[in-house]
Amino acid sequence: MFELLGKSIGEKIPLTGEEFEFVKTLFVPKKLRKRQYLLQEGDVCKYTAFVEKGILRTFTVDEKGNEPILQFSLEGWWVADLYSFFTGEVSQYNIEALEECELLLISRPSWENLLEKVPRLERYFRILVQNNLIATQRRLIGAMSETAEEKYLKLTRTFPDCMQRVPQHMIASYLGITPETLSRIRSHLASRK
Amino acid sequence: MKKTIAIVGAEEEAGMEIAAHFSKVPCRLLLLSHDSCGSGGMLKNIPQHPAADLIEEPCMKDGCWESDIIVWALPDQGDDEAERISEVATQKPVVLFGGTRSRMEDLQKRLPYSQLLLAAHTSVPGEIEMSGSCAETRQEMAALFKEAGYKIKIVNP
Repeated sequence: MFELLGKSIGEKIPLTGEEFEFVKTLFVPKKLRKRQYLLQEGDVCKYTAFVEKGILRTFTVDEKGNEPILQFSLEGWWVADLYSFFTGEVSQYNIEALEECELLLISRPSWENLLEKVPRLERYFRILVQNNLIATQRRLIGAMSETAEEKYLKLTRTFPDCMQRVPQHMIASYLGITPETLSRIRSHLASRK
Repeated sequence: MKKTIAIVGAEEEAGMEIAAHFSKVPCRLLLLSHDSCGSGGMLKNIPQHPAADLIEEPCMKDGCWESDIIVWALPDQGDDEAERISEVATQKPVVLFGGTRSRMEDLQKRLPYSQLLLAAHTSVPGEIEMSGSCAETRQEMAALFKEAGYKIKIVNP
């Protein structure tokens, strides 16, 4: 249940067995069925979640009813609306399970407790935030400067697993293109092989 | 967002009572049999047209894993079951329904990282006393039980 979390922490900082046993006591193990929500727009994000199994999407709903997708979260990733989590304000996002998921949730008070008792985890979370910032900047630059085909190819290289597990219309939404455009890109790339 | 509430022992008398009450609350209600293999047929005990989404879950551990809140409707039994769900009940509120304070302390030993509360009937019909060490969780559970139609008396530990 905690295998991937242990691996994720262990790759960045050393943690004793005793420390990790303490870490485990602060998380809420949570299973979500497919299409169940971890967070809904208008609610406060009370937990940040580590994905042990499954895949989720973070999306908003615009005035036309479109659902632009900000992020897919796979095994070994963290997912939350951090703004809502840290400020206590309501979220503008929805986080939905695209498959049956096994998550480890941690509340803000437990998170503070964790950092107080195991200060070395500050470094772990600092690295995560740093990586997330870099990824966000790259996504922003990509959105402004890359063609749809370049964005698609980058996604297939970076997250090949995601392409197999997520419906095509959601891939299109994540890339900011229509499903028809995505279909044309895929046909074009297939014809070049 | 709808909370997922698991009732452990939903086929028992206390379980049927709490399930009937919680069926009035907009939530996902997982009915778990005392027998982990599941006895089935628990839905027939619930009133028609409930506000809750009712789900009969055959595996007690999976049901508790999926839940946000666990109602323990086995006032005098279930030590083995408690140990079986312990790892998926960490940090979750577990409400012992209809038991005693010493039973709650027993259960807390088996679920050391869960937030244990006791909900017990008083002599006033429809009223329950709610106790537990975490004030915030106690308030949250009291509000939930009130929504389910109970009169609540909060008892400080």
